Amino acid sequence: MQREASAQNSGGATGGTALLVISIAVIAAIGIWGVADPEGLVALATRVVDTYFYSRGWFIMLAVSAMLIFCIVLAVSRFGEIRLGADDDRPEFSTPSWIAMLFAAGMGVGLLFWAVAEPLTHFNFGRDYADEGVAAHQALLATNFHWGIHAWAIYGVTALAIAYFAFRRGTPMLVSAPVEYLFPGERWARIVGWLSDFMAIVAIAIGVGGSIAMGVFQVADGIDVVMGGTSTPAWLVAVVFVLIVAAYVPPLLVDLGTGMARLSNIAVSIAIALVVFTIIFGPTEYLLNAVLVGFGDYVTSAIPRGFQTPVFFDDAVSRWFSDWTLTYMVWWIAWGPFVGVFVARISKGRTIREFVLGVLIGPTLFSVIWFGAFGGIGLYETLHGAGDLAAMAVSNVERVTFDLLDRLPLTLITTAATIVAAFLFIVTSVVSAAFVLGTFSTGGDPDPSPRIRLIWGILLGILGAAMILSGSIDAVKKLIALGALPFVFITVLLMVCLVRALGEETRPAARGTEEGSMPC
Amino acid sequence: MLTGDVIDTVMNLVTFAFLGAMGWLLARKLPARDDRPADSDTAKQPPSSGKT
Repeated sequence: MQREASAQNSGGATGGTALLVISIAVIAAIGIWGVADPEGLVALATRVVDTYFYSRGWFIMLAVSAMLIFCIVLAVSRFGEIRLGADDDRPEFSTPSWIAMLFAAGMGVGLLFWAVAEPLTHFNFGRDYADEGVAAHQALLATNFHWGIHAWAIYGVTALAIAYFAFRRGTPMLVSAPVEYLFPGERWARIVGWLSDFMAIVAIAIGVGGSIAMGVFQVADGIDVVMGGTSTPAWLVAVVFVLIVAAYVPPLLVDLGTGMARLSNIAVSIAIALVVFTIIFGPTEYLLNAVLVGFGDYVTSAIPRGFQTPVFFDDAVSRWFSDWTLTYMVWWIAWGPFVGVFVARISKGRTIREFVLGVLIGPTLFSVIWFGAFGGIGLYETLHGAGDLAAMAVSNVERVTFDLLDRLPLTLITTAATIVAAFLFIVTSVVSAAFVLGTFSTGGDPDPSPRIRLIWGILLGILGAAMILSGSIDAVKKLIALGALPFVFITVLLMVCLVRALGEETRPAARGTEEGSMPC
Repeated sequence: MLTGDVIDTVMNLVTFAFLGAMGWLLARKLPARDDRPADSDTAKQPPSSGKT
């Protein structure tokens, strides 16, 4: 059945080869365009994204909220007892290890980059509309909303669909697998399946390219700060980019086993140490209060906020909403297939209930603590200090994290640790992405050849260069949103396929078959 | 005048068409499949390198 399922996906060998060639060609074309004419590409992305967001912000928020509610319903219903695998499978990893790996999957250079900068950016915007206390509350709430349970519901739905169909129905780990499995031989399903894999590839490639750019900016700024500079020169950005590419290419050519996982764990450990350090050496009571307030505001507002759009507010608020909230939701959808495949792989044998609760709650709790601490210390400096950090969030957002570390003890150590963590996050993400892209583009080969991995690694580097040349984080965000927009529809389709498949499992006629509750 | 933008309306109608298609997928009968229930042997995927 696995061979049959594989052959069905991507139209067999011919469809798989076409997908590989076309996806490589399209990604290469986007990357080369971005390098040759970054302003043109950004201008197009801005036009398309703004039109799409202004037209359909309601659909994006509704889709994301539906995914969260879907996850909650699965967890509390009888569907939660269904196992991701055969009924007698058991998890490969202990629960603490599994939670730690989920953190590693969800943490990336973005958390380091935006730790202080995002809450302060929202605070700067909010204080034009409300007094500073309210603006501070809303700043933390907005940040937690962007990085919290809705993001993990997106990852969860994608991962659940991939894991369920792969481990319980024997399909390859492809985005196309659910629809092609449920509707075998139907032409529309093959076309939609092929397009799903293609759009997943585009979304992942552009998303990871954007992370490369953000990571390069962060590492280069960190090195510039250590060297005493005040404005990162272009040559340093170029050197850091070359170093990162040089670091991630060799792992693509060999089988590293658990090597990448170990590097990822080092990066996560550094990040955890940084937040503990900040809480201990910063204004501890203030920060613990900020974490509590952030948690309380978020828990009471998260779900209703998923149904809010700025329809009754002015253009500036609409612009903020599309530049931040909608961009984030689409960004998570872009990362969904990438994070989803990883989360799916480590979750075999868990029940749907365990899976949903672990994926939704653990990483979200960590994010609330993270932004409570870093956002809290940024707000402390703004409300009780000179306010330089808030000003820097406007003028030089890439430096905010390092400027904060400069105001705490052991600056050289913490700055160097942040640089190392950012470097490791990017390298491990790119290597993992190249593997996933290789799998998706070859019709589900779980171990793509070094040549395929290298090609994707090079293309990711070209995209990263295009994003760097775009010159600003805002431009990077627009490009990522452009790559991810079509995938919003695919994620909804995955949810529908999951509903159909789970409904099939629990029909009375499907129970009591040869293998327990599995349909035949 | 209270009329909206044409492109905006068309794109939203396309979105509703998509939602209609999802409704159809939820409601229609699934085709018969000639498959066997997955057990732990046939459902195994070879481990792949990468984050894990």
